[in-house]
Amino acid sequence: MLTRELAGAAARPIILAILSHRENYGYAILQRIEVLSGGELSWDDSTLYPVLHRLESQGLLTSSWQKADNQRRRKYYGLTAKGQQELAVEKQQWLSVNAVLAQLWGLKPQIA
Amino acid sequence: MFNLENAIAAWRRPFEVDPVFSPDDIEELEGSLRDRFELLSAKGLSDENAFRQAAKQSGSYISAETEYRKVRWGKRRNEGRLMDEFVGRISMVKNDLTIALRILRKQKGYAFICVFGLAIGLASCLLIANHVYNQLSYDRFHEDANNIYRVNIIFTDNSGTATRMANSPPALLPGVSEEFPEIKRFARLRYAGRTIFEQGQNRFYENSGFYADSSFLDIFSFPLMLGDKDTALDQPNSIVITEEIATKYFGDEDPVGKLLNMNNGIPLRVTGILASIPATSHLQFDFLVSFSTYVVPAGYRSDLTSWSWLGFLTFVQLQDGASGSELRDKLDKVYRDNSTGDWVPFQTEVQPLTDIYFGSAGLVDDLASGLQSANLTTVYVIGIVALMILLIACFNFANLAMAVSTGRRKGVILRRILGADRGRLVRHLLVEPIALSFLGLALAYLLSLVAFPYIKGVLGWNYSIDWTLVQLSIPIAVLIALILGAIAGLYPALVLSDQKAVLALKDDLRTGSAMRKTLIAFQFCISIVLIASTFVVNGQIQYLSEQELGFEGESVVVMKPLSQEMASHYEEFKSRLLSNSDFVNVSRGERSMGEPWPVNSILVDGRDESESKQVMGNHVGYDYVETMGIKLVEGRTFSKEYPRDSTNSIILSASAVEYLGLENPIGTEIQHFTLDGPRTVIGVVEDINYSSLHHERTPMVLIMNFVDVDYLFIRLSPGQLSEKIAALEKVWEATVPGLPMEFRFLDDQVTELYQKEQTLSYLINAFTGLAIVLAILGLYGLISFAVNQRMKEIGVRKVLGASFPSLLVLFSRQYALLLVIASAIAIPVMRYVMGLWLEDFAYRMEISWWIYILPTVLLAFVALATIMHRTVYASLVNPVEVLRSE
Repeated sequence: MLTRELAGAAARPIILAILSHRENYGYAILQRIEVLSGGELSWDDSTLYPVLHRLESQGLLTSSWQKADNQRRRKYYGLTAKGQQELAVEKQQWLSVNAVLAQLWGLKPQIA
Repeated sequence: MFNLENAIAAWRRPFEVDPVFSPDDIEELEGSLRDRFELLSAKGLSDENAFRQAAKQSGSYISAETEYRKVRWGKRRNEGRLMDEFVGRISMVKNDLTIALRILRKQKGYAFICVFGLAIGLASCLLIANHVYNQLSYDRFHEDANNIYRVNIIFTDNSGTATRMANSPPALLPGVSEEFPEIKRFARLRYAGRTIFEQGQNRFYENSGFYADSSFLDIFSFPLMLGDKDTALDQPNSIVITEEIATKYFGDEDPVGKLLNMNNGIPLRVTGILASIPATSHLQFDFLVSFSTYVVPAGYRSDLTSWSWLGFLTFVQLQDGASGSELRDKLDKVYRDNSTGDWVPFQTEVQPLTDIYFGSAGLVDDLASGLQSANLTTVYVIGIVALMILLIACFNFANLAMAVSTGRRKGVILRRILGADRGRLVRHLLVEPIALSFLGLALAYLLSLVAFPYIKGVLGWNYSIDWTLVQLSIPIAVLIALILGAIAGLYPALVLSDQKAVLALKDDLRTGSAMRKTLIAFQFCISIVLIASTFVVNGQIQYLSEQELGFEGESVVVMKPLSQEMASHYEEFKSRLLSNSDFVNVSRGERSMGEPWPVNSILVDGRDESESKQVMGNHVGYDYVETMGIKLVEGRTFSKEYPRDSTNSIILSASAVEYLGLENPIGTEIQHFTLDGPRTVIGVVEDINYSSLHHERTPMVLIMNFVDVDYLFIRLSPGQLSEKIAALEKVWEATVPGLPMEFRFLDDQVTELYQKEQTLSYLINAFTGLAIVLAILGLYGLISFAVNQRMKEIGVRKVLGASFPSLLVLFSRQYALLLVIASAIAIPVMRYVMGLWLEDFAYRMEISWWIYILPTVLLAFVALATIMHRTVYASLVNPVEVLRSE
């Protein structure tokens, strides 16, 4: 499991990256993270939703309520243009951290 | 049996009652919960287990609350939901206001003194500011005011005595204007003197008009309502009149093009109507007659080509950027180049129009043409008084407001203990004084508007409220109110909110007392200066009225009939009057008392011309000395028994004898510059103060040589005035039927000279009274507050056997010290200011030592009385009552 701090810091680029492919709703995002991390990253709702709301209030995400197949309403989040830019910035930062650690630990940098 | 919906409803409940979660948030969270549930249930878990698992994965309500709260506040700020916050703040201010009002209601007296004192102070200040603003704006309404100058002449006699005159000769500017390109225009004015106009049945005297060059209306911006300013004064026999005159003679008719008869025979065509002359013009007139109409009266030794006849006012308008002093140098050169040996060359002074109103002290207007002038020091004195009143009112306000909020110490401390932060406390304490100061401000504007007409009447102000000034004053007044409220609130607020709570609750700290003491000392200081100033101003006026003028103005009637018409009937008029015992003496003269007399050169016959002297002179009739009650020192007065008197005699004043250095004046032959042949001194009279006591008595001569009767002087016998005036009217009507009769008393005319000082004394008396009342009110408030605060202490002291006098000493001690400090500061200040003001008078009162001491004593007395009143009250209260109450 990741530490709380690291999980918190990573939430932002991860959410932005997931939403950059297509709009999605909260629980689906959680599931995707869980799958991608192989269970290493597992957030509860009280962690995810506030982050989504904060990103929305910063203008990086938009949200809209949509009817799902089971007739329940779901709030879908999508990336704004500003969100796309922010994602690029985040990506650059995380890659530089990655590059430093990779060199220090003698790993081959792997470009995502 | 497990019911999913019930379980979810139970799960939802804590979220629903928490304002951090919006319904959307809850729906989103619930959706997530349901998704998890469905997934788990699809894996084969029982509903109950699936729900428990899902709820666990979703996270606890507590952690969600914390996380959501963080985001929610950020979101609020970022989304700019300021309205919510604003409403929140307002309700806080409302709460503060409610508490403030509650406290004020409990302390009505202090609130009243605070608000009313500030209102009166600010209102006085506003009124005085209006006056000062008006004074300083004289002559500035002319569009080209900064390029307009008056050419004055400085006239130095052989003894080196310089006389500065507003008058100039008629040929000067016409002679040079072509050669000096910087002169755009020039205009000469000749005072028309006493004039009579006639139109149909309407026949009146007019005193206030000029003959004017046609360029006059181009130079100045006196607006012409009807007529063309470029041509109105071009032609001879043209006249431009003001609205008031137009109505007086023509009623509702349009006067333009109509005829007005001047001085019984000169027809004038009205070519224009002027709007009323603004009060802020040093030139005041009712009509302007074209200069080409002016005819030099028969008998004058000069004409319009004269370079030495100082009988005109000359104004020049210079090109932009041209300098007045350069023009002066050029004019001086013209005089130097053209003067012959006969007379001393004049020096000129080119005085800016905007300096004339305040810069004409000691300037002689030989024509007595009614030019307005004022003393700048007086305006400053008034301004300083206003400032002092404002300061007193502000200090009062700050002191009392501070005292009251200090009285709320315990409430504040309790709030702190209950967790109010410092900013919140400061705001809480600020609301009250700021609300009070704004209330005072609003009341001040109301008061000044209501009071203005009354004050205007009493002080003889001839202008109305200047609205631009009012507009200008509002931001300043708001700033003052804000600063005042802030100071009054902030100081105790900061001190209180900083104190160790327990310390403040326990100890009877007198917060802000150092600051308050300083303010009280200042207030004492200002009060002393103001009281002393009233003493000086009133004393000076008293002193002036006690001065011997050298003549007896009481029961002398002055009449100024039209010269020519009366001249032919004068002897008849005189003998008719003298046949009635109501009339003691009748005489005539060229000038009356109180207006400047013409200056002329005289020379003791036989002496070198370089010894000629400048003296003031009046042309008078027989019995002048007797009618005026002037004392004869030696010799005799003009008499019909000596036929040569009317052409060959002269009377000198005592100072003129001294000035000329005569041992035995009687019989000395004197050359008078304007007259032919020498005159023999037949008498010496005591000096008289014919002009105001602002000026020294100057050497004077009386001669008998005039063409016209300007003034008639009639001395009445003592007793019933109205009958005598009725008798006078009868004789007048019999002698010159149809000629309007107007008269004044000589002493009234003289009193008028001190009108400005009289007004100043009213003003200073009124406003000083106000300031002192304010100061006392403030002092009273403060002392009673201080005594109230220390009721417990007084109780304890009394129980322990303190006597009333010892309590009195306890409370007076600190004020006594403040008073001593204040008077030490005030005395030199007032010495300086009053010295400055008195400088303007030739005859000044001595400022005796008691004037310095008395105000302090008075203040001490008032303070003591207040302390006594409050202490008596405090010591009458049974100590048990006070000590029990806490």
